[in-house]
Amino acid sequence: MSTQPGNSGNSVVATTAAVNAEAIRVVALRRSRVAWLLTVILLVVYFAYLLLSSFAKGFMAIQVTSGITVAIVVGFITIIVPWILAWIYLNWANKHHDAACDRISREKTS
Amino acid sequence: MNPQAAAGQLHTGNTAIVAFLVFVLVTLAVTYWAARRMHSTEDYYVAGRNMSALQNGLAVAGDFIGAAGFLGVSGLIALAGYDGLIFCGSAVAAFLLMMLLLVEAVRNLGKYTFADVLMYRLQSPTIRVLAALSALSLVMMFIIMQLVGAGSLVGLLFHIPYHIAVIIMGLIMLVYVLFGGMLATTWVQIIKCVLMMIVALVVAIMVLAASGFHLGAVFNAAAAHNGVGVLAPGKFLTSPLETISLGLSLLGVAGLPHVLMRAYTVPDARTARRSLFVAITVLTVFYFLIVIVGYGAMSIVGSGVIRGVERGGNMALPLLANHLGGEAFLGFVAAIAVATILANISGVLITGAATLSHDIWVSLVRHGKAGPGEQMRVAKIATVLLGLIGIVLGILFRGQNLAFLVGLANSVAVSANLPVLILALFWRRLTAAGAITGMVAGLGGSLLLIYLSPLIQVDILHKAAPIIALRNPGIIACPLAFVLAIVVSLATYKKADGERFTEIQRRMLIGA
Repeated sequence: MSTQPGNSGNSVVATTAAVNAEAIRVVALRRSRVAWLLTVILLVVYFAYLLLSSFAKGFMAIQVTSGITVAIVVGFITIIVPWILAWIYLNWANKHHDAACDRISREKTS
Repeated sequence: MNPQAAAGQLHTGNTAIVAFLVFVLVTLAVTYWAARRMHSTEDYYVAGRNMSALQNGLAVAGDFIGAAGFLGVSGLIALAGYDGLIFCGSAVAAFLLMMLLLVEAVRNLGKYTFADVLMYRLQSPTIRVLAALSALSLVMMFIIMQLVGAGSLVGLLFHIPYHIAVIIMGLIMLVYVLFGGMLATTWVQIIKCVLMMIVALVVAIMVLAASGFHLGAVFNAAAAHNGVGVLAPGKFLTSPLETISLGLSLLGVAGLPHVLMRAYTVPDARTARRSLFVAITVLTVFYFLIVIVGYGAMSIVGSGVIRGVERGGNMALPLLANHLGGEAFLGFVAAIAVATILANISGVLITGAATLSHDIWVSLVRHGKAGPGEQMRVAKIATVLLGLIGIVLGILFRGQNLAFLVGLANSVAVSANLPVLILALFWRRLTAAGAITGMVAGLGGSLLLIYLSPLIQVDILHKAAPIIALRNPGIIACPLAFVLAIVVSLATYKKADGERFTEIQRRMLIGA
């Protein structure tokens, strides 16, 4: 709770801060892009499920194999897709995002 | 509900009481252990920020799969079939939304509550008041819903009078939270979550075994009893607009204050991210199992019998357990069903206490100048106060139709909290005035639309027709909050607001 933003006393500090601000913007933008891309995929799948359930009841009632309707398949896909997206995000963030954040904190302290 | 059928069908016997007493004794021992480790408000509110990703993940999942997820969703599937699945997919989706967009930033920007996040971003005491009001109203709604549910459930399973059940449950909740704080609350939640997963797994395996471990056969058996209609949409969700609005509202879970607060119980944002992955994994597995359990109950117990014991279908899982594993297994399941309510109201209560004492008293009344002793004292007073109000309201609301509270809670979460939180974290141009407008629109819009909906107009006021025929106003209130917050922000934006956002981004990425 003790950060003091914009408290740059001399020009050297100011330049470092500017470089740092640019780095922060780049890392934040990249993270937003990944997070929102996955969010859009999630919302497309989720609302496709809702729309199919609302407007394509005949299609959803078709039996793929005995006992398994299209609806059941779509329902299970809607449960499993978020998990897959979560796994993708976790791996991306652990591998790339954390390293980028570490670089920013090193620059800040050096 | 038919009490005779209940007494005949649900003979929980001594196993239930023994299992429940063991749960209470173990969790009280945990509370005692936690109480001895509690020295500061940080310990009290957020367990000293020392939980691991696995521990917090289980607790987050446990927060969500309360009695509603455990008994309600399996019951709905057992009665209505496919339409119950909307509650399965939406839960996993909501937690992914939270993982992708909120949890790391919330962890890095705030201290104890999500109001901290908005306050740090917008530096407006008004936004803290609004966020605290939203959080407190959600906390009270959840405590009332859960306690009223607990009163009936305990009555049904243990044959104890309603108000005694509410008082006992309320007092145990108070003991957990008051003495053990977040550490005890989290461990109670973890224990419950693991027990619940075991029950879901065992029942699902038994259902599969009854169908020769053939998934299609489970669905075929259900269809043989209730018609093939149960394998396709349409029995419960009839209006497309209502379905989509409900689907949207259910994503509001990502903005619930007691779920967000768990982000602060871990050491850093990375652990928060990992814990959300654990929670999503648990929920994914859980809902697969619950679908099997629900359809299994439909064919093995039969929808008629389930509805005969309790109209809403909440007894589907206990009845199935009784059928498959006998009275002892039923007792175990019943004990866990009651335990889950205890765990959940405790998690909600500590969030309410943190909001009341940290956001309202310490930050707004005392301007952050309260010493550690005073903070702890106020936190405990807030806990007792909210707990007692909850118990009294739980008794007063006996037998009331609380469906409107569910609709209202969903709507407030998705339209008051979520839009402003997302804009605060991702949009440079958000201003305090914009955020305030968005929150007021989300809160006020939810209240007004629920008042005009069938939930109040028809169910409570007994009017012939509602003014707006929408039970889930999320589809109106959520976009309204977004649009108003954006429009007012654009009108009031100053360059200084945007400059501050770089500092916010830095802190979102690497913390304080």
